[in-house]
This record gives sequence, structure tokens and C-alpha cells, in this order.
Amino acid sequence: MTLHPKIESPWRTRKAYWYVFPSLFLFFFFFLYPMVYTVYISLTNASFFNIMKEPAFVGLENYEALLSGFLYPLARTVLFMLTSIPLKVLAGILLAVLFTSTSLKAKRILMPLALVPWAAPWFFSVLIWRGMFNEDFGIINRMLLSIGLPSVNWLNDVTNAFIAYNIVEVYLTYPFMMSVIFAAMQSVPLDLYESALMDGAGSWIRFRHVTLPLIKKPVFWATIMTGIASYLIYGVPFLLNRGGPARENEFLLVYGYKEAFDLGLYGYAAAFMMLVFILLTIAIAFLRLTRMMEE
Amino acid sequence: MPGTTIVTTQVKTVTTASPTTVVKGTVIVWHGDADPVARITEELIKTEFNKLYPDIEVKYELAPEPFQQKLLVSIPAGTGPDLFEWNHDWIGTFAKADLLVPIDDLMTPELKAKFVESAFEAGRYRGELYGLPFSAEVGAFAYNKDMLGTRPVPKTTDELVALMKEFTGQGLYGISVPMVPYLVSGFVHAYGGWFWDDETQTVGVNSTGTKTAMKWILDNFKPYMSKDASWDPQVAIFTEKKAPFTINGPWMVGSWRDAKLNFVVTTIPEISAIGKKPMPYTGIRVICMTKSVRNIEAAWRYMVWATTSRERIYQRAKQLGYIPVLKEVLDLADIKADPIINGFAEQVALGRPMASGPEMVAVWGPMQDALNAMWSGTKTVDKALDDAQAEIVQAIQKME
Repeated sequence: MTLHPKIESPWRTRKAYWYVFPSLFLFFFFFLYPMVYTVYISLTNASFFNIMKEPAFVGLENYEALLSGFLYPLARTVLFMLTSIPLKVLAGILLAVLFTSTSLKAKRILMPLALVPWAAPWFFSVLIWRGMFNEDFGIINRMLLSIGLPSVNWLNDVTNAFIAYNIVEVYLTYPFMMSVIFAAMQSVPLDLYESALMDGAGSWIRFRHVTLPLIKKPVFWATIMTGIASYLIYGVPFLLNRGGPARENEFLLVYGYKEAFDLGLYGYAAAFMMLVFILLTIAIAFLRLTRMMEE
Repeated sequence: MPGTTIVTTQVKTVTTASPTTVVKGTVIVWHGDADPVARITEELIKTEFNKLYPDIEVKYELAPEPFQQKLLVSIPAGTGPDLFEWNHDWIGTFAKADLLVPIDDLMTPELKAKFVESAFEAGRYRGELYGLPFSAEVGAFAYNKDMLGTRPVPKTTDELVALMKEFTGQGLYGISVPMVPYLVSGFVHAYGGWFWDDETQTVGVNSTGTKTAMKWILDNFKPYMSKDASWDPQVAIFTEKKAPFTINGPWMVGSWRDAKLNFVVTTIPEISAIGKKPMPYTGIRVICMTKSVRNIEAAWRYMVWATTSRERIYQRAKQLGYIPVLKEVLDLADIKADPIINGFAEQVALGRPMASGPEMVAVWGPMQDALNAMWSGTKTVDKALDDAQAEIVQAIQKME
């Protein structure tokens, strides 16, 4: 008689497969299949005009064509990441500090209000912003005029539109950053602040040397998440002015979308999107690696 | 491709089906008309079509935006509508992409004889028939009689500019013209420019004519217009009586009537600098059958009804100013005497049919971008049009 009856591995029973089947199905259907199909399409000359017939295999031709098309939207996207990520993190930290501070009254009312951008459907908010940025009728220019400043051509100027994207992106994402940082700050033990106070530390010193080191990890994680969101930004530029004026503010996804669905160049657009995906994968792998090396 | 064979065999069976057979099924029609234009058809489907064919359910739906792209994606996937209504300029694109069912086999000489011939021929691409016509349209000149008062109607652009100058200021504008290629095409053609020419197979976006016309528009219209020249704000300016003049098409007539405007439609004034009348693009509204069609018999019944229903064509003309291409309606005395229909008809006579080659799909977007850029001043006219030309030529090359 054995004291330890052999525990049967769950993978030996047929039941187990049924349990994982739904998620496997979703994975294959919504992730793997589209991905494999995109790789296939990217090697053909598929377009509006031949998708009903058989698109011809063209090898790496589409990838060669990317050399000229990829650089501008990539540079534009990197620039957007460089401006929007710091702004989003900064806005998150400032608001989290504000809501943690004991001197702020009416927190119960203000906190839910600050989460409104998160609660409202994002495209709805972007459309309202588009109205607000309207050159003639928008409230922003009306306000500028009322205080004696000239009105700004927000959405039909390359730089101004880029600024508008940043404003809207910060508006849409600060609740996420704020919540993560706020939660992290709640977990900082109070006695650390008390001992810092006893050592005569002012509020900036306390923030810099007590709060910041302890919230570093969650902030880093949230920054990565929001960074990926900036890299893959689509809705904000597309709804504000379709990445315009002309095609000068097209970030990666807007450019890819337009090549695929405005011009019908499915093959080329698929190759483009593969490159977008590969770059993101490399970036994430690199981050993982550096973290692993740190630990 | 298997789908294609099924469709063609079905087409053949329809012609042999006896007219007394009860046709059953659902027909999905996509259109691009917001209310009040769509309302006419929606009501007539209930009161007229369903009396004729009680077993056919028609879903007359406003197409999702962007209309053309949604069709190009959904038809190959088999999730598109059975029929769609749009101008003839899309036929080349859809025919080339093999997304339309040719309808030559379904036609009869009697049916063909009901339409104005030039309009009927607009449904053809490379010899094959893909669409049946139900109206003609154009962007014409309209003015608000109450605002204009006793001042004479401008016959030349010099007179127009003088009046626009008088009106501009204190929340009013001289004119409302949405800056879209379709509506500025009249000036481009008058100056000898063009966007895409089906005959010569050339892009003329940076031709001297196009450039001169655009400069003329910026010099003569921009000072008297709202800074935001996109569709919705411009349309609102005329409807809300903030400008006495506009250039727009029959799809606006319903809203102008709803807004109780006292308006007149006529031809765009002659361009004084060259002594020529603008020659705007004209469009023939057609219904096409897509390769997504589920029930050809039912879809064909609807197609024939929608293009030959006397009531539908009459009401679209009478209420909205769409010019009939159904002979029996066109010949009616009160249609002939209708000032709004006549206004559009005179403009159509001066116009030029839109190009319908598949290349047009590559023209509209960059041309619109160029218009926006030169309007906002981010690019000069020359630079904007040169860039657009390069982009269009490149896109057409990639298509081939």
C-alpha cells in the first residue's frame, strides 16, 4: 500500500481541455488567426481591387517599400511619446499628491469629478474636444479672444494640432495615472513621514526622499502602460483631424489605417503593421531584459 | 472564385422566372442621405413598394461612415448590403474590384427606354452595366431672397464679390461654400484644370488651370467666409441665415425648407476674370447590386421600383430639387415649371460628368488634404497641389 496515492495530472483528464477551450478559442480566433493572416497578406499585393480575386504573392516587396513610408510616421509617433508620456505622468503625480494632501477640502466631491474622463466614452470626449478646438466657434478660441489674445488655428496647423493631441491625450489618461499613483501613495507607511518630519524635512524633501522611492515601481509600470498607449495612439488624432493637416500628423496607426482603408493597399498596410508590431515587441522584450538584469 | 459563379447563375434564373412568382426575402439597401432626404423613400417603401411586394422586406439604411470604405471592406467579407445608392463616380472602383453584379442580363428594352439615355449610360463601366439611375445632381448657386432684398442677383463674380463684401462682418459672412473638391470643381474646370481625366488617364491636380482656380478661390472667397471651411459649419452658416449665398447641392434643399429659408437656386455666376461660367461636376445617382446580394430576385424588384416609381422620383424632385432622369416624370408640366429643379437643371447643363474610373478613389483624399492645407495657409497653393499630385500619382501606381 502506498501512502501517497498518485495524484493524476489535470492534463490527463479530458475535462481540463474543456476548461481551457473557451480562452484558447478566443486566442486562436481573435489573435493568432488575424496575425497569421496579416503576415500572409503582407507578402501579397492585396488591395481593394484584387481581394475578391487571388492577390499575387510578391515576397518582401511591401517590406522594401516601407523604407520610404515608415520613417515619417515613426518619427512623429516618437515625438508624441516624448511629449505626451512626461505630461501624463506629471499630471498623474500632481493630482495624486493633491488628493493625498490633508489640506484639500471636499475630496469626496472632487475625486469622483476628476475621474469623469475615465467614465465617459473616450470617443465622445474627443468629439467634444474637436468642437472646443473649432477655430471660429470653439470655446477655447472664444476664451482666448475674450482675454485679448489672438485666436489659434488649432486643427489645421501641424504644430497646433500636435499640441491639441497632447492636451486631449493627457485629459483622457490622467485618471489612470492618478489612480495608480494615488493607490501607491496610500500604501506608504505613515511613520516614515513622521520620522522624516522629526528630522525636519520639508514637504518637498519628504516627497523626494520618502514618497518617490516607494512609489517608483507602480509609477514605472503605469508609465510603461501609458507609453504603449501613446505608441499605439489612434482615436485622438483620427477623430480630431484625421492626422492632418494633409498627412503631416499621422502617427503609426493612423498612417496604416489610411493606407489600408482609404487607399485600399492591404498588402502594404499589413507589412507596415507587422513592423509596428515587431518594434513594440522588441521594445517590451528589451524592457523585460533590463528589469531582469536589475533584479 | 465560387461566390462569383453562384451570383451569375442566379442572374440568369431571374430573367426566366415568371412575373407571377411570389418573391420573398429581405433586401438591405445602404444610402448616404440623412433626413429629410431619406424620409421620402422610407415612407414610400411602406405605402407603395410593400403593397406591390408584401413579402419583400426592405431595410433602407443610412450607410455607416466612411461609406465607400465600409462597402469596399464589407462586400468581400460577404457582410455588405444587397444594394447601395450613390453617384456614378464609384462604379469604376467597385467594378474593377469585382464587387458589383453586372445587370445587363436583367435589363429589358422597355425598362431601358424609361430613362434619359445619358443618365442610363452613366451606370456603365467598360461596356458592362452596373447601375440604374434615378436622379441627376450638381452643386449650384443658391441665394437667400430675404437677405438679398432688392439688390440685383449677381450674374458675374465681380458683382458677387461686391455683395459679399457688403454682407461680411458682425457675425455675417459673404458666402458659404464647404471646401470640398466636388463643390469647387466648377471653378477648376472653367480655368482649364482637372482632377482626374478618364479619357486621357491623367491626373491634373497640379495643372496650371487647377492652380489658378484655387488661387482665385482663395483671393475671392476666403476673405468673405468663415475660417472653418469644413462641411458642417459651412452648411450651418447658410441655413442659419448668416450668409446670403451658397454653393451646394439638392441634398441641402430639404434642410433649407425645414429652416423656412426663402431661397432661389440658379447657376454659379460667371467668372469675371475669364468671362466663363463655372462647370461643376455633375453626378448621376444610381443603385448598384453588390456581390453580397442574398436574394437577387427581391433586390432586382426593389432596384426597378426605386428607379421607376413615379411617386418616388416625383417627390425627390419636387421636395428636394433632384433632377428626374425618368422620362415620364421629367416631362410633367409642373416639374418643367419648378424653379428649384430648373435652377439645378441649368447648372447640370453647364456641368461635366464626374470621372468614374477606379483612380478616383485615390484622388478625393489627397485633393481634400490639399484644399485644407491651402485654406489654412499651412501650404501655398502650388506646394499643396504639387504634393497632392505626387501622392495621387504614387497611389495610382501602387494600385496597379
